[in-house]
Amino acid sequence: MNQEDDLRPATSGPDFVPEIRFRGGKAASGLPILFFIAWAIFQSGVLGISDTAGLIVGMLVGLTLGMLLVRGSWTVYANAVFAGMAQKVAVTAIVAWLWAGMFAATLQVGGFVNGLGWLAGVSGIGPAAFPAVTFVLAALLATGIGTGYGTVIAFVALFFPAGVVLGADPLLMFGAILSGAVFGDNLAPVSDTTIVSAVTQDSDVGGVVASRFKYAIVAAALAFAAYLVAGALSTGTAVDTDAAALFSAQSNPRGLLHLVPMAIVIFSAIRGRHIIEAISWGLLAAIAVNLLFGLAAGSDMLVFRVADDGWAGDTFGGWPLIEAVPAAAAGVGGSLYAGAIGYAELAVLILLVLAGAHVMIRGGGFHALQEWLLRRLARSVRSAEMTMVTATAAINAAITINTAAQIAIAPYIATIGKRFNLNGYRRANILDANTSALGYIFPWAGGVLVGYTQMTGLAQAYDWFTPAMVVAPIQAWPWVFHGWLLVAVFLFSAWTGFGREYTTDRVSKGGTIL
Amino acid sequence: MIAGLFRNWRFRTARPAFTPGEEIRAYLTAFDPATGDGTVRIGDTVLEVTGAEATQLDQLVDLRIESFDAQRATGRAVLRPQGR
Repeated sequence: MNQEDDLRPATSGPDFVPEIRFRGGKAASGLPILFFIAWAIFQSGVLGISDTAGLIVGMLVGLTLGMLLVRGSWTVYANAVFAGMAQKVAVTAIVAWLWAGMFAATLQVGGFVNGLGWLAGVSGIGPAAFPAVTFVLAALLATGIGTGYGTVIAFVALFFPAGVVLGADPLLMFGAILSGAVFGDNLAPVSDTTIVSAVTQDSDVGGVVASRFKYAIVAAALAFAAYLVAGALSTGTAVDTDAAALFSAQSNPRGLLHLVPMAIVIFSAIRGRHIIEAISWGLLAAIAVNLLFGLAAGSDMLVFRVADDGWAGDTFGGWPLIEAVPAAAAGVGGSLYAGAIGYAELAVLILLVLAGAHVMIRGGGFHALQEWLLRRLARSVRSAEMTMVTATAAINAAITINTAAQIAIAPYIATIGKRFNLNGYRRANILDANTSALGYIFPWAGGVLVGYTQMTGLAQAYDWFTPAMVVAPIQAWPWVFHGWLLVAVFLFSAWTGFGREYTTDRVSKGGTIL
Repeated sequence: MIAGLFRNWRFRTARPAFTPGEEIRAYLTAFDPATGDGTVRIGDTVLEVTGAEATQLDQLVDLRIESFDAQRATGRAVLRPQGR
């Protein structure tokens, strides 16, 4: 996948000149994003309303208010909004959500969770160990398919409910899934963030993956231990005994047949297939498994519900995939529909957030912030690396898709790193690890919201899933152990020089993609 | 590939040292047009470079170390012809 088209328009290098002038100076260009963050905290944190569509309105109002502060023509501002929404990273994320959503929902109707329940029963994996095991499996899937978002969707749909109903702490389960996504986004050779970090820092993908393994595996080992300890200390969730009994009664080893479609997705991705292609193969296999083994009917996956009081109902009612229903219930349904459409609101929100971030870039707000962070604080190689770590982490507060955040700050990391002759691998590793991590920690981050969106739909999917089992985005951040530990490992590395490489040690293989 | 995963598991000093005669490749990190002197900063080690040009700022250049003071982590280097 070539990300070079994204690297130019969205980025503001150190020689950047702002295109949009604001009343109040460059800082005012941050108003849309800051307004959105304040709205998100007030709506979801203070009022406890976790409504994605509400966040869309917050971002729309923020973008509108920002325009009132523009000096001169508002057209430049409007064009920046369009340019922000048209970035390839946004489309890449949305595509991953849509396909992964269909795939996960189809495994869901096929009873994969019932298979996991059966496996947990016979293997003796209790609620204490479930989060740690979930972290490892999510990390493996994310490393295989290269999309942390897709992994979050699949695991919240499938592993989260199984773990929670067995008594595992929902906070730990969600944190473990997000942690697995961080691991994969950071390390997978086919991950967007891996590719962007390599390309922007004059490095080859193979080289950055090999060189970042040490940081990732140290953080992952500590995170695994932390999930084991936290799982053991946790009192778990007070599962309704009826719910547990219902889940136990539904346990069915045949659900594990869906390990085959999952393996197909991982294998295809590792073989270098595009994520759409890899998940499509898995989706076709999942549909085939459902139909061949009687795990789900065709209408569970796609159904046209036609009004029974009209011509269409009389004519087509009873045909395959068509149900005649009362007029009020007419519509399209099934796992393909629900899996994809569940992300419609989030897709709109992410487009608008990227528009807000783009306004801040074009208005010079990012430039001012980054200049201050990187020029004022980077006096020695140690302080330069510490600043690179904290700046890349902090940038995710404003740009909530980690790939986009990385693209925005990449030129600064390159500039500062080169001033101290840090080689491309070291620069790429600092850049990727911290954006990967924080992209799944901030409550308004894309990775957290995508998991929450999936979670809110679980009550419709399972009789035994209760609203009390849902983890709100604001609750998740302390439990993303791998994310926090990855940032901690890099702060430690910056301070001590662990893993540091200069261009005099070796020059990265620049410019070669994949 | 496996060996690559375990490469560079070490702590690297902030002030790398060099020996006279050593040939290195590094980014030219500063250039003073008034004096024609260049600087190559590697971590917190600073090398004064002669023979550099303004167009080489922020570019990789090949150098030969002429002298190095390990105590102060400073030294002098001269540009040598580019070549891999």
